[in-house]
Amino acid sequence: MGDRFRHARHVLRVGAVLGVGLVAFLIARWALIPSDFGVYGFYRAGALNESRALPIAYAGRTACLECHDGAYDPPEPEDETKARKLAVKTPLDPAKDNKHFRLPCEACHEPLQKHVDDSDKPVLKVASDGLCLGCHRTLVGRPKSQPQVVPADHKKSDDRTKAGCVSCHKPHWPKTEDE
Amino acid sequence: MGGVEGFIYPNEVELQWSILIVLYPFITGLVAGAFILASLERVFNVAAVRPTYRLALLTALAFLLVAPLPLQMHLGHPERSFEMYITPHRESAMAMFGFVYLWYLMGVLLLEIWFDYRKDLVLTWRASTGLKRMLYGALTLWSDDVSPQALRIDDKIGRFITIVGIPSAFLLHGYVGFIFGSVKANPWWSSPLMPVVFIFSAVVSGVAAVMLIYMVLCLLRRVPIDMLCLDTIAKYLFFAFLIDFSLEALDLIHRIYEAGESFGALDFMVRTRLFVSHIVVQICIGTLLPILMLAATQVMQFSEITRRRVYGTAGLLTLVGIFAMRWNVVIGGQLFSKSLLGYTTYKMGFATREGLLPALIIMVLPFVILAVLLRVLPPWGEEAHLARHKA
Amino acid sequence: MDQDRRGFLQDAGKFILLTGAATLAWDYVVAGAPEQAPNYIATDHWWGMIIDIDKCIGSGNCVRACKAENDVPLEDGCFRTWVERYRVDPYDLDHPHVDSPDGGYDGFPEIDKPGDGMKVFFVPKLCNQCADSPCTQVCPVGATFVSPDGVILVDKSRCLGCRYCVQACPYGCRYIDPRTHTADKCTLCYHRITKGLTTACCETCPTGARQLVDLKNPKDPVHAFIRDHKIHVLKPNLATGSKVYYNGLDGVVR
Repeated sequence: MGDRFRHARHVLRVGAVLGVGLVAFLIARWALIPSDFGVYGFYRAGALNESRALPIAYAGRTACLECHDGAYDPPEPEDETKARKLAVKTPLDPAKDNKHFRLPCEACHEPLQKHVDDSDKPVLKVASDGLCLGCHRTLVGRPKSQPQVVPADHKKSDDRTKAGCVSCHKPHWPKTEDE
Repeated sequence: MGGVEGFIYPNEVELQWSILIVLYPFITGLVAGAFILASLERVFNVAAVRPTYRLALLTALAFLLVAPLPLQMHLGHPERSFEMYITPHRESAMAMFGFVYLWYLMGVLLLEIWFDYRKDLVLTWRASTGLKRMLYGALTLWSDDVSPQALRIDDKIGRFITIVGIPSAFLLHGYVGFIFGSVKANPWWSSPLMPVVFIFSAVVSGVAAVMLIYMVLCLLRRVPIDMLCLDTIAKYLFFAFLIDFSLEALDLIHRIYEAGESFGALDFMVRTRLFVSHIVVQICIGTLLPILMLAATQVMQFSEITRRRVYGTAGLLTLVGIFAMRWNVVIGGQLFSKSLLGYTTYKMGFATREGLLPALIIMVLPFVILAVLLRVLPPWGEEAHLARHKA
Repeated sequence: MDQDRRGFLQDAGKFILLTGAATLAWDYVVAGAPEQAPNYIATDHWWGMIIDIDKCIGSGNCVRACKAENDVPLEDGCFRTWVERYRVDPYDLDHPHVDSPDGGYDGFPEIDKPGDGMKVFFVPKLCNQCADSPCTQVCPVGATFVSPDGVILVDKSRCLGCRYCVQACPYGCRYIDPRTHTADKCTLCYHRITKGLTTACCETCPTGARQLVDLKNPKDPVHAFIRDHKIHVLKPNLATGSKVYYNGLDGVVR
């Protein structure tokens, strides 16, 4: 018995080397695992808070309407004739009559959280044919419920000095009187 | 977008896993295969292959030491790779890498080499001076017991480690197969056969590699090749290859027969973008041809010289074929879109972090390490070592 | 007169009943932002999204908004959300033509004329926030995970950039951020939804085709939506537990 162990000492040395390695590994493990690891699942809980703390770029329609709650109201008529036309019609309800009522502000305007935080930062005017046609040009695949036009065929303003979509359609109240 | 055909998801334009990830299974395959060859003698008592026993272990060690390198060069954050040791996600096959590798290196290969070489290390320690003496003293852990009882213990432990080492070798390489085989998102990879195919192709590549290295070293040392050894190795190579080929053929036949959802897209890919690497290189040149050559040596009588040439050529073709298999799995699995509607191409750089140059360096490195190991731990026994010293 | 007195009594009653914080919360509820109340309890929520293909016009607003909101690199191959256009020849259903020029960032060019006979529609895609997600299963170090409220997030300080998760996602929604060399993907605007806002893509969608939903909230419109429409998820055969529900998703969509 003793004889066998006497000749097995080199095995014990190997065992000792491996043992030291194992202990070193366990110590390293204890030192390096983040303290909030595994709290909610197999991940570092701090990652949740880091994800929540990222900066916001889009303010959201609700935030815009807090100050600009008349944005979707019908525009002021430009002359007597138009005013009479509007008065004859039943009272306008933006929710029913404004096709752009449900449109989020930032669908057209750029991200506006910076403006909400500091209202001195301006909201840029973004109206351009490119913007309107992005949603409204005829494109096969768009549902029929979406108003679509082929620009070349679409009715132009009678006044040749005016040009572009906004010469007839106000972006916040796109319906024209003829509709 | 050059090279993109059909529709791919916008994020699929660039391949995620490069040639370095092709190298990793190739290298660990060589490790596992070399170890299996060594175990043929140690556990299954195939005495004929004894001349390659130590060489196989050293080859395995040389390649194992290099194995983590392609992975580290591929990772976006190699400095964080220690996280696999401290927080391994047990659901992930890849998390097993750290522990399987460490186990195989420390618990199997190094121990087996140490127990087998211990007597020679002690004798060298006793016979050296200066720096060499310090080195060998450390290698023996300063124990110089080479009594018959101690050597008997060494032999028993070595045998036990080899027995444990066989499933460990399968695990070292099989888990790589599982890494691919368990990805349900990829129909080229997802298969229960994947780990098994990987293991058997590993055995084939490792045995072929050791056989070739043995032949080359005999040539360099101007020592006659032990033909019984070589013939035996070639025989086992042949049988392993038959199993490997059957498994891969089974996978192919199964896919073609079932012709499932992904078959059309994959079939097109194999016929076009993978034609050269899959049909020509892997199947014809890298599998069928060496199998036929080895079969010929089994059923026909060839002269020694012819047999050597056939084995050498077949061995080289085998290695090319197994490398092509890894390429076709890894790269092939990323050439088609998961939408099954399009294909992209693999643009391999040259002197970039994951380019051809680092890949070549990584493949050369194990041979450099092997050369060092052959000097520090000569495989050809005490007598040969002393004989060279006298001359 | 009676109307005024009743109104007054109602207001007074409301004021007496709803004290302090409750009044504050009530204001938020009325304003349409019920969760903006300070305490966000993750386990009260189980986030998903509904996408109505019948409403999508392929404007690309969502793709642009996502990149702006989440600081996503503008280069190729980095999309947290994108829009695909399917053009299906009714005589060849096995081979739909699909395109997604720059992910739909600048909308879509005209290819077909009306009357060409093709069936064309747009499919917005994003991370499906899978309940049984294969991507979190394969992460070797727990750097990507499912949050308690059902959102799949990436811990950028722990991600190794091994790309296994990118391989494991069946929907192609992950990519490697070329600046941080870590995995990245749609986070369902976690920083917004935990503050009562909706995601950037839903916020800017001009037709309301995309809507954030909270499956744990009994009052959320998702329950009625699922009941009243024929909804689909992508690749249901892979059993990923996808929480992005499509209405009107054609069988040809991959």
